[in-house]
Amino acid sequence: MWSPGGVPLPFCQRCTGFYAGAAVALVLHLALRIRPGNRFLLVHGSFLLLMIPLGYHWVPQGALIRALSGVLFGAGVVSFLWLFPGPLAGADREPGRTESLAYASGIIGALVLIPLLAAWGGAGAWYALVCLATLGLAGLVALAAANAGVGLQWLRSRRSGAA
Amino acid sequence: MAATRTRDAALTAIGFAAVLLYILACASFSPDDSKVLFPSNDPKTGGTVLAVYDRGAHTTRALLAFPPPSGDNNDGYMIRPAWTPDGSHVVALWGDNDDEFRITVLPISGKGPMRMLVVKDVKGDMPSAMLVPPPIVGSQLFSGEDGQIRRVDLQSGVTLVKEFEGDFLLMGQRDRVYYGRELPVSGAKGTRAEIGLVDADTLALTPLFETTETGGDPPYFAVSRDGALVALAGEKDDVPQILVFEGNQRRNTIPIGSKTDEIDVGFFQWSRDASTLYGAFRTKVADSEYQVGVLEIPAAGGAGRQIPLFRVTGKEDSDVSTLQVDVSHDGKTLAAASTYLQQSSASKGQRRMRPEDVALYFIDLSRPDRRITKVTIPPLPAPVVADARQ
Repeated sequence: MWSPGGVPLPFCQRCTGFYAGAAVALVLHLALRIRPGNRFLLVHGSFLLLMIPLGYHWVPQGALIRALSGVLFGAGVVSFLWLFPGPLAGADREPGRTESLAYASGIIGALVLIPLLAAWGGAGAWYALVCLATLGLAGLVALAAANAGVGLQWLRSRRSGAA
Repeated sequence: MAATRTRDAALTAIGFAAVLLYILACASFSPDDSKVLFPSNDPKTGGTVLAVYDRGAHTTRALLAFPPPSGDNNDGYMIRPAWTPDGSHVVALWGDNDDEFRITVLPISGKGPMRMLVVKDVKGDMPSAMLVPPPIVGSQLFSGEDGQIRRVDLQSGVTLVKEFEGDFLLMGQRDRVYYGRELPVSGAKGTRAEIGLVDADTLALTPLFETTETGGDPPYFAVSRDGALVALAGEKDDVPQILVFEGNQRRNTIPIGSKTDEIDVGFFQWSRDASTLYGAFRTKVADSEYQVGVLEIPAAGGAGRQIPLFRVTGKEDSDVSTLQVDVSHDGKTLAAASTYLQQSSASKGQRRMRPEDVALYFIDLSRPDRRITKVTIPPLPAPVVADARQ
């Protein structure tokens, strides 16, 4: 567990990356209003698969790899959970070159900044990481709830269409 | 459009499944094999520190710091660390008084209260719970003493003591508690070692077998994971040997080296598949110089293997049993901490090891070359030398 400013974070290293990465990815999805296309999903699907060898500790890893894999996994989960509720937030187009670059820059920034803040930051970094991770956790819960709502609506409409 | 929505539904389900997978993966990060407890040093005071090493993150964290050596206590506190069966708490046994020892129970997460228990009226030189990893069944810790067996509830501190004949050593294997004791042979000279089971509820004893060929009181022994094999330390013609019993029948006798090897063997443990025994060893390499390491002994007999770790110098007062050896639950790694061998107990402050050799050692048992990695333990402060002019 990281302790920026001498105070332990409330999440383990991978979970810090996961929640903070999810927050960054969610903000990027909202700001850029992108609808993940096939290539985008393929890349993010590989981020999800990354968790099998790393999450189950099949591969020896240190704190940095744990955090980085958490950030990528957070981005992957958000992009998959964004598919249903995304259009409600106006995300109706696949990312073009500009959006892709902006998104990639955001994720790379998160990959660099989150471990840096966690390992070498002070008390301010502790608050920033806790806020970011809490935002990510809340965002994931909101995405899950939105998926449940939209999914139910879709199932109902499919049933009425079939009838 | 409908096809796209169906694909989206499937992909969303994958997203949810991934989160579920992640939760499972995170929960598997259990303290059992991912962390190792070991005694370390406080480089400022020279006191003993109970530390935990995270094998995944490669980080060491100090859990408990003990007072520095003072007065008659030249070497600082000797601590016996252990985990509760669920891995949620660390149990540290320590003491500097002949007839009592203390138990500290602390949550590994750092959240929740720490408990301090004082165990009084301890009989004999040293309770078995301080010598070897104590059996812990649920919240009950068991310890053997001279003439009695003790059970301590780690939550309430409630203690049950039952008196028997003999000096006891207790070992745990899963939720079973085994005892070893040395008893006189009726109507003849000499002694016999008796190995048996302790009832965790009533502390009643059920003997399993006995032998007259062991050396030591109480007899050192190890029980295989399935309880089928028991290995007992013995000695014949000044050569250490290990007696392997299956049920109440002797299966094998394994001599350790020869008389000229001058080898001492410490506590040993079974491998997960009960094919091998691992134990600390010390052998003389020159006058006042000894090689210390880990011995790998095939249970079926045959050539054993010495894995050298470090050398100690000085008089022959280093007890090899203080090299704490533990095999991981997956059977792939052996850990040993050399903390207690760094100073001579006879001469206050005398260094007997190179500072870089005071370490937590990991031996990769899955590799043929038995690769060793070291986690350095902070060195003790420089010994205080009395000024002769004063």
